[in-house]
Amino acid sequence: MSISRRTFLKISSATSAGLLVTGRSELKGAQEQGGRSDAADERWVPSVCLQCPGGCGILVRVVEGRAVKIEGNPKHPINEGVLCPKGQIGLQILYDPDRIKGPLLRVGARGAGQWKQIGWDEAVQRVVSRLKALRARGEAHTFVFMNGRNRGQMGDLIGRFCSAYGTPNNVGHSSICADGSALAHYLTQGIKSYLGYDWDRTNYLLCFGAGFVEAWRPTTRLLRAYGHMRRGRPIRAKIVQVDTRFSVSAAKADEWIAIRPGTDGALALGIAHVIVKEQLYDEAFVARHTFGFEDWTDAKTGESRLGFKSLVLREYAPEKVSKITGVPVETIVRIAREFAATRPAIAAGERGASMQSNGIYNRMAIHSLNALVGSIDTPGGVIVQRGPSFTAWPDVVQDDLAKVGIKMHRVDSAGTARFPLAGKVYQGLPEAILGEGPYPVKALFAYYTNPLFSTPDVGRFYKAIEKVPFVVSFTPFMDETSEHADLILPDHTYLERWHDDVIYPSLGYPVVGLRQPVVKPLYDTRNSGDLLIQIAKGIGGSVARSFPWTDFVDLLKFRFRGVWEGRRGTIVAPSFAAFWKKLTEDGVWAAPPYRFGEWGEVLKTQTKKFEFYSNALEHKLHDLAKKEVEKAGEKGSEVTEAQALERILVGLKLTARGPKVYLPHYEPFRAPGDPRQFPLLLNTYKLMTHAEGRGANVPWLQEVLGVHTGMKWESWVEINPKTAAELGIADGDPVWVESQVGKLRTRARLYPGAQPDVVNMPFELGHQAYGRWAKGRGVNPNWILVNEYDYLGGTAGFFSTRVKIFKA
Amino acid sequence: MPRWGMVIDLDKCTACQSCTVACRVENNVPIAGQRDSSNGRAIFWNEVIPVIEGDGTHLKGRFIPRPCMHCENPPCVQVCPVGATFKDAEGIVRQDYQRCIGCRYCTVACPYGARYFNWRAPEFAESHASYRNPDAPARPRPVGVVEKCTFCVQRIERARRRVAAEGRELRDGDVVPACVQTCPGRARFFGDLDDKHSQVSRLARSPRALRFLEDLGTRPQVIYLMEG
Amino acid sequence: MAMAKALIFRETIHRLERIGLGYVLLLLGLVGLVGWGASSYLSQQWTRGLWVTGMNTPAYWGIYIVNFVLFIGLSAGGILVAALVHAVGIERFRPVARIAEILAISCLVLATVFIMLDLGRPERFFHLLLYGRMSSPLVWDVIVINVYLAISMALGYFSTRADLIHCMRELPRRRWLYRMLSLGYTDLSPQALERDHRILRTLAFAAIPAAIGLHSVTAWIFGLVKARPGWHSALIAPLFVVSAIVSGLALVIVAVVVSRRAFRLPIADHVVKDLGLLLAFLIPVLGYFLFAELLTVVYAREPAPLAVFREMMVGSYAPIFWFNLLLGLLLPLLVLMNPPRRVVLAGSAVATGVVAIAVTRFEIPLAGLLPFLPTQVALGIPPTAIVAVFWAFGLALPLLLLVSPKGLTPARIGIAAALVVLGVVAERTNIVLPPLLERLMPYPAGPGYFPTLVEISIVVGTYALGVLAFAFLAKLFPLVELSHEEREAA
Repeated sequence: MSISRRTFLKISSATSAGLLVTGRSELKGAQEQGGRSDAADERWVPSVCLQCPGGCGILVRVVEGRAVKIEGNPKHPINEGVLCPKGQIGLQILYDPDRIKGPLLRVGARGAGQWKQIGWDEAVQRVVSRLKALRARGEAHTFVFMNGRNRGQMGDLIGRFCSAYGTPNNVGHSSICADGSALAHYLTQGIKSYLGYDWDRTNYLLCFGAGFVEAWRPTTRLLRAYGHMRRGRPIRAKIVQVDTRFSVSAAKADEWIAIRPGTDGALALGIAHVIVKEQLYDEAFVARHTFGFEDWTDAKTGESRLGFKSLVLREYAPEKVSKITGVPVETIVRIAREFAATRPAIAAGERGASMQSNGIYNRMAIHSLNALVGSIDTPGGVIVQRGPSFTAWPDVVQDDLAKVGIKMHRVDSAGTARFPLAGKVYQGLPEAILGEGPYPVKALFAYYTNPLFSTPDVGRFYKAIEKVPFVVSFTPFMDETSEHADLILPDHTYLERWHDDVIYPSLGYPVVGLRQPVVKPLYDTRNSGDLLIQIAKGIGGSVARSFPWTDFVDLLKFRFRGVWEGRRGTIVAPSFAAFWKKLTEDGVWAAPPYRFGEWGEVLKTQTKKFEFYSNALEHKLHDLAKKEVEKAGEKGSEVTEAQALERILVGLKLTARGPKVYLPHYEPFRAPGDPRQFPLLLNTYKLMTHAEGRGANVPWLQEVLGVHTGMKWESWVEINPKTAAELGIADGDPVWVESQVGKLRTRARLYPGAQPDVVNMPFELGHQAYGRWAKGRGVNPNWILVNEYDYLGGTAGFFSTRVKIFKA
Repeated sequence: MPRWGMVIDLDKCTACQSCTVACRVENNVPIAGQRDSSNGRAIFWNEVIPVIEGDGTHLKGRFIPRPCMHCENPPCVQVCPVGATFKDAEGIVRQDYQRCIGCRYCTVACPYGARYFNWRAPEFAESHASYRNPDAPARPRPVGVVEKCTFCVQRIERARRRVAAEGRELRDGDVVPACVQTCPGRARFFGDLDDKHSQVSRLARSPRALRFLEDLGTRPQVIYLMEG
Repeated sequence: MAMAKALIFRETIHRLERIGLGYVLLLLGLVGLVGWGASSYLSQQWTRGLWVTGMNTPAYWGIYIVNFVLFIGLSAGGILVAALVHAVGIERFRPVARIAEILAISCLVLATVFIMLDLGRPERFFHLLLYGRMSSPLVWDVIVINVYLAISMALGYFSTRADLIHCMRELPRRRWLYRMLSLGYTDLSPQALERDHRILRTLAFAAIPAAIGLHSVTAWIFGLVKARPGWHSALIAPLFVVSAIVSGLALVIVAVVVSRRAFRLPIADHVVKDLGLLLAFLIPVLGYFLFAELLTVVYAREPAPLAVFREMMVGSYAPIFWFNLLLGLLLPLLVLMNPPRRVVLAGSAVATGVVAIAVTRFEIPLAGLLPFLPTQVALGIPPTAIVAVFWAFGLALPLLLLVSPKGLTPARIGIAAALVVLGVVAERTNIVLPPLLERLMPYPAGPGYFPTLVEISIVVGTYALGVLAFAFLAKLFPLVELSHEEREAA
């Protein structure tokens, strides 16, 4: 900030002069006269938050056209009127002085920050002509659409745009988020999504590496659940936090189990061992609703197959698990007994367990515990989120160009033998772009996603983006990716636009909120939904025909018509117009309660059971092996299916062979690098104040950044006091944290909750762009993270980096 | 005449700091920035204090949200040389920003650290000024005076006017300070301590109830419920 | 004989009009410092608020309040001497009585200046009069300061009046000035003088309870705050009284030793020696109070006060604490007692032994106390630069003591007294600051407190203002009361 002293004085004296009238006399006056705000034009406008994917309902107090306070919407079932700190700060996003105020065209070098303000017509025209040309050349598939916060219809709209245009490369961000969990659910339950949990009725929570009250989703729902589990009902639930650090969640739990990074799966299997061995599991549930628990015989081949029971009894005795995890044997046994004896109980896990090199197996192991104690689709157990009955999308109209394009290999190799289960490999794009991919990337859109900040070993993306000739960003903020874009088509902020928001999986029953403009757009920005429809129309032909809506609101109404036609839930109206009106007043539609016992919705595997032994995984790997055999055959070489499978397993860096591959098991945690050179493991985590890296330019969040360390406005690395003493590092010292990828200078915080050989760094800061408060402040651990994969799902291992620390 | 009080259930508190942020938004508490934050100049009418003790795997973490305690016997009021801080008729410890001379005796005398001296004039960056709460009692304070939690007195006034318009008396739950309204764990409660049937007085009688630094005789009107 | 007395009388009065180069330079220097302080205040603190100081949350108070307390204390010297001379009638101290009274008044004025400097809204100081609340010890202090100031002024007036009239007669050019200062009451008849004397006696008696009140009330500003364990002690009021008397007397000695040389005042060596002796009697009393306070805290081991004292004794304020104890009390006491060298050596040997045994027996973290200069300066722990100067000054003294064979000279007494004053500066610092940093609620540690350049400039400027006033008064009327015989002789 460059305020000269003279201006400063002027401002401050003006402020104080303007304030001279406050005080007791005025307080009294306000009481008598009714105060200024009530005399003025004041409204409360319902909308939906967007700081995290939770989809909480909000009410915004608008006085004289200015939004002045955000509260929770009491009608919205996910947050019931309360709001987390990220929800509170929306005003500093709306009124961020560093917002992009209109379409920008790059005029200088990439990243040099030289822009030309252009009109929307010109901006749209540029995109259209570029995309049209690409398509005309038969290169539609070289267009990559990266997207992050694609809530509500935006996700489908983007998918539809890609299909109509003719590219398979719709790259969502979930491979760097928490796809490990979704894939584990897919392999065991057949549902490729996050799951809901009936927190309000559970009596025991065994939480593996999920920041229950900090960083898990949906934030406010979990915070509410926490309060309810503790004192909102007669029975106080026990919460056990398995974590590599003493997080706030661990502090707020009844018990913290310190575990070595990446070994959560082993602990879960050790617990399973005790439960099975002591016959504490729910025999009825296991018998009726699971597959692969006992040893079984393959009907087709007559082979005898290993069951989950034998596997855990054979390989995961507490003594062995204790050695792997560092958790004492007694603790493993005690927790197992508690977990099995307390019904209903939930075993949950998230990034700490799932975004590891062995994440999917870890999460399968954890989720197996729920099946063992029968906590699937029971009150107080795991539930499956249902969606609103939106009008079905009309078929995408595809011309030949689109049909050819869409069948091309994905540029990120998702779904191939390299990443068999992956739907997208967000963080793998740089390699693909820099030459490893099947074809070059010629155009890239980034919608509410910032790969130049949020991928491990993020330096790779800086190199990669230079190779993409046409980059378009849609965010209202000058983030790192926008800064390297050719064209910025700034969206409204979430408080200025129409947008729906289907809740994050949690409550089970269908809920959708409506985001509507609470104030008129402050700047010359445009709803990306409208824009995509415009671009599609501009491209014309089949692409245009795939988008028969006039604008995004028209599309929303089309989709919501189906919800209205369902005639259930909180809004039942005689006409759609009445339904829509009520929706804008309530801000939300919901159809409680959750319906238990719809097993067809809950267990969607081939066997319609909870699969300890994953047929889906077996089929996928065998299909890929068969393809390899075919491919080899085409080249004239002779490869057996077994050989091909072996080659795939080696490629996936799996140590298991045989049936164990398809069962939850512990794959040794990988952290590349020499432990002698880099003796410490770097653990990264998200803070409550972390709004997906988008909170960095929000002073309100910066000023309460780390509640457990008291740190504000800057980054830190948590070091165990004993380790720090050995390294000669004192609290507050500037230090270098160095990995094989790079090094960062930050501040040391001596924290007893750091394990001796693990250091912890939070995400959020370290922006090179974004705005006056974000830029150049703190460090982004992604710069030194090794880009390790869980190859099975193409997910990023965020905890696989070895580092050393020394005084700066 | 009600006697306002607050109950904070530490067992339900998640340390999310939503109370802190909501308070700053509602009451126009200015941003301090990095330099002033690290120099101890940030103002928090409500703050969450971390207490982490022990070592190895035997750690105890506790997070204490701390508004003003609105003591029945407030040491700050006792020491104020000019009567700039006073206890109003409803038990709220208030501050008269026009009378305060900035001697900071009250900040020194408050055992809870709930009072803040505004070391500099409040500043709002450009468009940030737009979101300021226009309610008169929440207006930004002039430089050089002490400020503190008011139990969102502007909301009490608003509730009164609303209730008057509806032609009825105040009921339990009509008045909701910003921190209470936003609290995701529903760990905070607000109401009339003199009303035996109000939620706060029922909770205040809980065996888990505790008033911080009770032995100082301050008789806080913010009551905590302990964990476990 | 009478001629000689008359000559001294004339000489003393006429010297008032002789302004030497040294004096002018001194004045210029002081005016410069005052100007520097004033401009720091106006350009920084007045316009930008207390943000420009090093104060923060929770170090709400800083060196302004330290100096306020210090100067309230230093003003005690005047009353002590005045009481001894005018009430008890110890004539041998009469030559230093006027210096003492001037000091008392200037210190009080400076103390109020420091309070004003500390206010966040100094332009509202009149609120104290408009809205003053009797429940606040700060308001008691305002009252008692004013009462004390009035008594001191009256004492000053009645003890100076005769000399003013002599000056009026001797120095025609300043006639108007002295007439104004004497308030037109120019009667020098024996009856009038006798009445002056009676009034002086009454005032001196009245001043004693006023002084005790002043220092007690100032102590109670701190002592009545239950939120601050390091302050909340019944002993703090008597401690303040004793500490005030010790520091006040020491300041009088310093002023006497300096000005008798600078202004060639007719004050005999033995007067200085007697003052030194008096100081030597009082130091152990202060030591006793400090010990009583310390023992209570350390023995009881109540966590909160103990934390404050730990911070003080072995924490970041340890250099200040040990300076106060060793160089501000013990060493001056040794110097003033002027023991034979054998005793010094033997005593040192015994003391070293005791310390050695104590350190091993009780595992006192000596490292935290002693190697102040190398480690703590390197760590940048509190007001290191200032404290370093204190220590250097203090450490030079034992050498002087052992090297010089001359015995107890006035210069040496002056140095010892200066050490006592500095010791009390340290004591006041430790009374005000460390208890502010310890909090009853479990807050994380704050940023600590270190005064900024602006703050130090303003304090130095204010000091200069005090010295300037003294230097100015030294040329306004005789700093030593003209003796009866001298007047008679003239």
